Amino acid sequence: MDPLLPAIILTPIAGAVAILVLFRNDPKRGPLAACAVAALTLVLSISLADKVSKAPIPTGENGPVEPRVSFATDWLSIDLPVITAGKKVHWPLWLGVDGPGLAMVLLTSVVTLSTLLISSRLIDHRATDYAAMILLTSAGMLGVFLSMDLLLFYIFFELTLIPLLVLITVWGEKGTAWPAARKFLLYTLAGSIPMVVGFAGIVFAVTDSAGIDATVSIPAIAKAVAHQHVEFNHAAGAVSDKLLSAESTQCWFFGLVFLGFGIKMALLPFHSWLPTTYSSSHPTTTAILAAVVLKLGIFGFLRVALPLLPLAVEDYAIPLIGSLGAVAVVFGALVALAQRDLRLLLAYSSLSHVGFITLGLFSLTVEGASGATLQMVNHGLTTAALFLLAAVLIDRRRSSDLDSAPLGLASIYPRLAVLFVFFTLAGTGVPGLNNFVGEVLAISGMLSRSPFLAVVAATGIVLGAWYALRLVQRLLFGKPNLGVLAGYRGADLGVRELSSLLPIAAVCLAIGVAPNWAMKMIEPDVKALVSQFEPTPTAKSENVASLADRSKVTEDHQ
Amino acid sequence: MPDIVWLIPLGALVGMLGCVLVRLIGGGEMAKAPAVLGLGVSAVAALWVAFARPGSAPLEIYEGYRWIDVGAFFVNVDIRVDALALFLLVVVTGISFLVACYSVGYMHKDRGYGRYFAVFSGFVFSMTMLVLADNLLVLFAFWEGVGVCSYLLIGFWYERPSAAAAATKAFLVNRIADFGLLIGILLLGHVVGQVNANGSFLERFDYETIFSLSNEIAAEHSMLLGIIGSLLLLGAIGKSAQFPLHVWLPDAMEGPTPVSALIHAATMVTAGVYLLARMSPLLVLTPGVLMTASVLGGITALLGALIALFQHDLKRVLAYSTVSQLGYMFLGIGCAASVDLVGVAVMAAMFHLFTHAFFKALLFLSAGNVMHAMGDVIDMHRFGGLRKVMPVTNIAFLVGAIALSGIPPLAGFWSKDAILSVVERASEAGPARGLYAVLLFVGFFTALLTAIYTFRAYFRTFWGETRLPEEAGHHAHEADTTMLLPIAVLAIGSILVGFLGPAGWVDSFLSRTPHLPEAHEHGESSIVMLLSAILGLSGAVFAYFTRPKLGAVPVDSGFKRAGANRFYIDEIYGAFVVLPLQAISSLLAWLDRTVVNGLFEFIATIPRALGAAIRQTQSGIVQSYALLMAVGIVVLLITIVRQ
Repeated sequence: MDPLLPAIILTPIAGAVAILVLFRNDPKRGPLAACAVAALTLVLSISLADKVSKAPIPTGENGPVEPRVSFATDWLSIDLPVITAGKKVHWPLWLGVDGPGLAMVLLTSVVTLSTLLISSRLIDHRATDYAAMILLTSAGMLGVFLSMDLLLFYIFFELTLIPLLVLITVWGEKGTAWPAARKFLLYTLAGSIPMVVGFAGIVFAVTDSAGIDATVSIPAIAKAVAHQHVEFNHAAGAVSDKLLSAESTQCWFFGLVFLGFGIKMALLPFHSWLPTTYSSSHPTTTAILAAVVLKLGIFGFLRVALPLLPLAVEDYAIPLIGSLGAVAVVFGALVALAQRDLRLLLAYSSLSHVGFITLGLFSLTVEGASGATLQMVNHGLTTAALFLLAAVLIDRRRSSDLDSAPLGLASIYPRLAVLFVFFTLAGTGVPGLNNFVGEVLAISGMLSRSPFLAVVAATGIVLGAWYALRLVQRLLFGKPNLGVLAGYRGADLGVRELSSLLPIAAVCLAIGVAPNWAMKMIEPDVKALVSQFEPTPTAKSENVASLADRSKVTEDHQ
Repeated sequence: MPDIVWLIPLGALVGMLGCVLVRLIGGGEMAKAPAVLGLGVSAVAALWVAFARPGSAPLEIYEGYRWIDVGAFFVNVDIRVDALALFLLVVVTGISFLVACYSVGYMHKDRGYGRYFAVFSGFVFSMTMLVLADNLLVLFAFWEGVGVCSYLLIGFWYERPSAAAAATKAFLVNRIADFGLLIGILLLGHVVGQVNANGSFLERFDYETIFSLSNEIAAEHSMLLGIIGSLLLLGAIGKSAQFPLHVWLPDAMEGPTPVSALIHAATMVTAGVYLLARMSPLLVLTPGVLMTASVLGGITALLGALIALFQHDLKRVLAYSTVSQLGYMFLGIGCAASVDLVGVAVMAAMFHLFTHAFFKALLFLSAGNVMHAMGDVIDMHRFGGLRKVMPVTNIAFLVGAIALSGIPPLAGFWSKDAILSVVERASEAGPARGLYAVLLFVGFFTALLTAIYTFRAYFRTFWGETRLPEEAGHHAHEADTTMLLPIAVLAIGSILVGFLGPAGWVDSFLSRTPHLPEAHEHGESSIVMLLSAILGLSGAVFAYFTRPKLGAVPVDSGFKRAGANRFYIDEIYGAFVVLPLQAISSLLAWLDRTVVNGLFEFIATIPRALGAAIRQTQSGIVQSYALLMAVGIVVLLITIVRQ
């Protein structure tokens, strides 16, 4: 029972309302007040991290999902007016946090603060409203990461959409923002409708089959499903009449949920909302979109699909989603190479990098999935930083097109250039910086499942460096192109920009040099989650032994 | 436990942080102080640990900290000290220190002074950690680390488009190799995990784990081992600029000349040789990979020498010469394919690495003096007869040229002889006798070419009538003492270090390396020795008589043109790799914009049409979706639940 959890969600909401009331017409103090609110949220998130690190590590006995710190009250516990198997569905309204959830909460708080700091200098139209919308978006996302029941998860998942649409349309590019927002909305709805059906199906099916109280609580359902999963494995494929242990039913629900999460995370081929939205929104909005909103989908897979639909996940992990991830890495990188617009290039680059996360998560190994979880944070940090830098650049230049390159910006904006190179190198997975750890774990995890996919994705290491370094070369290097630069205004990064970006850089370095503190936070929960996919230890060694025998036999034949 | 060994990398690291600090507080050229001091500490510590420390074991491991520990993925950042590592460390830290001293003068009045020394120290830190790593993943981390420093230093003068392009190219070509290396390492870790089923080894990527399981790996996964070996080799040929990935190194000369001397001649590019030497206990189990290394080395040696013959840019001549000499090292180390030659092959390659570091750094720094005096002109068409203007540099370059050409008794002769002897022995016995016989011939022929191109460059630059370019102004002069002193030390080194080989010191030092078989019967064939000496001398004489005379019309030939154009290898890559990839990239971008996007746009219109049909009124998108949503939910729920 920890009031910190609702506080983390309510602080930005209350803050947003407060600044809308107090500073509506004050474009100076409004955004700064929003920064203060975001800073407070960050402080709360850090103290939550402290609590989580002191909480006992879950043993896995209570099922694959077990919050380490949670908040649930009786008076918030509701029986829904939906009846299944003669019982009313129970809605515990349960907030809880585990390792991956905490990682995402920290990421959200950091990125929100950084974005607000930078946008407070760049947004001159209804600045207070913008800041308030960012805070509301962030509250919705924090809610998703802290939800422990399907209904709450769904509500927050959809709630983020409203402030986001406002952000895209009001502050986006004139002319393209409305069509982009429409496309974003259509896509998201096309995903969330099947998703909510899938959620409902899971609830009804489990209640029908597992003989537990009808509930939307994720840990409870996960435990019941894991129990059935074990039974199913022991029955060695004997067809069970219990609904959720039947693979085909799980596959149905998985397909529905897959649409929702896949579209949200812009999984290939559901990605075409992403380039339009990214390039039509204000670049600081895009920072939030790319860094955190995209992760909602992946987090959904982690939180809902893996624990609740294990049989289907096992079936589809490698042939469907893992493959899509590997293809996305290569496809995104190649398409990025052809882009002539800074924001589109970063958009496709994001698509490519998210492929690594998909790959790692659906390797369903401890190292791969832990690496993927860490990579969600890593990618969020570097992408946010790059989009924020792009926002500054676009503001200085009033264009994001790259055709007039080389620009030679390094000579005029040295601080910006140093940070741009730093985050580009981090993004290309240079060891010692954050992304390397996540990517190498993701590749390594997949290598033990499907070497082919791992190798395909690993080519992204080369292709990713290609477009990224070419971008650096075009933007920053070369003689200052005075003809083009004549239209530039404004100075190099100032105190506010640096105070937004330098902490991110420091975290990137810290995760790269010493990732283990973060890994230890994530690993136990991921382990509990993927342990059901890994063969039991005894079976594993038997496997290896039989493999060894087989190779001996073949040798004898030779 | 903190040990003095830690000073070797940390000296450089602290130096780097010091430079950054000085740069931030606006200390300008004060940045040299922390860098030189830090590198000095590293060098002294390396020398002390290598030669003076009493009672050290053949293998010492100093615990650092736990880097990654997830599932079965367990990596510590530890330091591993053995003879092989120390041998290379002495070269790396010693030459870094000298080149840093030289840079103090060379980089004087440059805008990026602080940045230069920060990245320079960062490079030395990464390189020492690369050598000291006790597992492959940490090696890889710093392997990329030196690559990043190299990228930043090649592109140091980023305002020059050619420097920016060269930096990008170097990083990308290296990335191709690193891709192979990373997959190789991860695959090896996976195989180790398979073999090590009872879990007695925790750290899968550690050299010790790998070597103690290498026989099991070879027995149970022989095909995978071949793949792993090839991938490691791919990594090595990228970093060491071997054919066909050699294209980045000549372009890397866009960086400041001291950087070319240190990173792109003496140290970083030898990392590939070090990797093969380090992994030799595993690689001997896949002789095919080592033979490939030899063949690629032979091709590279010859190709580099041929291209060097036709270059007019002094630094490019030296760059191709580096490519060619690295080829010798690969040629030598590949002889480990015959099991009884493992020790000799590794030692010959490491010995050549050692001497090459001295004389190539010497040559580059001398070329740097020339460049400095000529106002950054490095085209040999535009100057000549510099021995009168720069007498000391003249002698230094001459010493380097003699050493490089393999003329006795300077350093290059002994180490090249060691390599040729190993190849000769591999051609006498062993599985691929005929192959190594061909390679031996290539080795000798390249030795002749080496002497020719080296001395041709020497005569063109320092002999004949004195000619100066306009850029030199009126102040063409000998370099100052801060620059000449490190050169003098390197020159003395180039004369003397060669004797360490025949004196047996190199063998006795390196044979303390664990897992490296001792090189018994140190039989150097006197015929090889005599022949390589004659070839070196006659090459030099030939270069003297054929040196281009002023005003003489150069003979034009197709071969010469091809050589001057680096045999069009860059163009071939452009046409067959870069262009197709760019075409695919544009095609995919187009497909994504039209087909993928268009398909979904089309699907998006269907519900609107449906909504319009149902409501028969003008309805907004949201309403029609809400309706559809409701209908959809009901239908789906009914079908699934009542199934």
